[in-house]
Amino acid sequence: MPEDKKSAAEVHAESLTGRADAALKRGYSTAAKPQVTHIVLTAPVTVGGKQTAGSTARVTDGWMLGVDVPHGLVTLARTVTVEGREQLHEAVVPFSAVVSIHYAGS
Amino acid sequence: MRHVIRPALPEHLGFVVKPWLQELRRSSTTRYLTDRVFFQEHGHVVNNLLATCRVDLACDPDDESHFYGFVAYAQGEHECVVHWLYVKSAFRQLGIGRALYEHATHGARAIASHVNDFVMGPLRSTWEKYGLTYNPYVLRGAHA
Repeated sequence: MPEDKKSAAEVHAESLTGRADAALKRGYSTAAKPQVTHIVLTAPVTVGGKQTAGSTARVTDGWMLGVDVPHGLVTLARTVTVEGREQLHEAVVPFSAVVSIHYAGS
Repeated sequence: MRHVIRPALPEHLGFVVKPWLQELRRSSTTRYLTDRVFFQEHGHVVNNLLATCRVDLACDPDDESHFYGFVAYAQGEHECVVHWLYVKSAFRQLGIGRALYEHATHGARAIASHVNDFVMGPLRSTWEKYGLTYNPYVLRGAHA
């Protein structure tokens, strides 16, 4: 197997650890997926010092939102640029803490 | 979408250079270049442009270190020259790109010094609506 190819088990393990890049690739690639506009949670969430407006995380409030259906997780993320370097802050929330997920056009 | 547009500071240019080069690298316009040649040579071009052009960032109004995108541009002899405009994929289709473009050009015709496949494909009608002209020759001298 070429070195840059990962086995399905490795990919699965990587996604379960909630690694930022894996989560981003899963949730934020918009070419083939409907775009999430907002997610309603059971309680407000704070990520990197910023709290959701009430219990709703909206893209229009600057949240990057990912939905990982196979693992039953949603991801809320935002980036902060410090001295030219982007740092990703994220929270991975289980579906049990999600009231509803809203997509563009729905 | 709520955002503010503000000038980039020198320490923000890392945010500008990386997506600019990466998006251009994925374009068919650079298909026949090796990675080494492209990143070395076009890195020079971008750094030289950044030394003279203006860069403005679109940011979260509540946290100006959370960037949504940028526009790099310069006022040419007759028209504004837009070197690169970028919006993070999570924040596309929300009007930020249009706001950055209109901020740079004030709605007037403009020249684009770079293009990629996305601009010349799915964004083609927007390109034509704004009356953009692709002219890479405005970059002459940017490789010094």
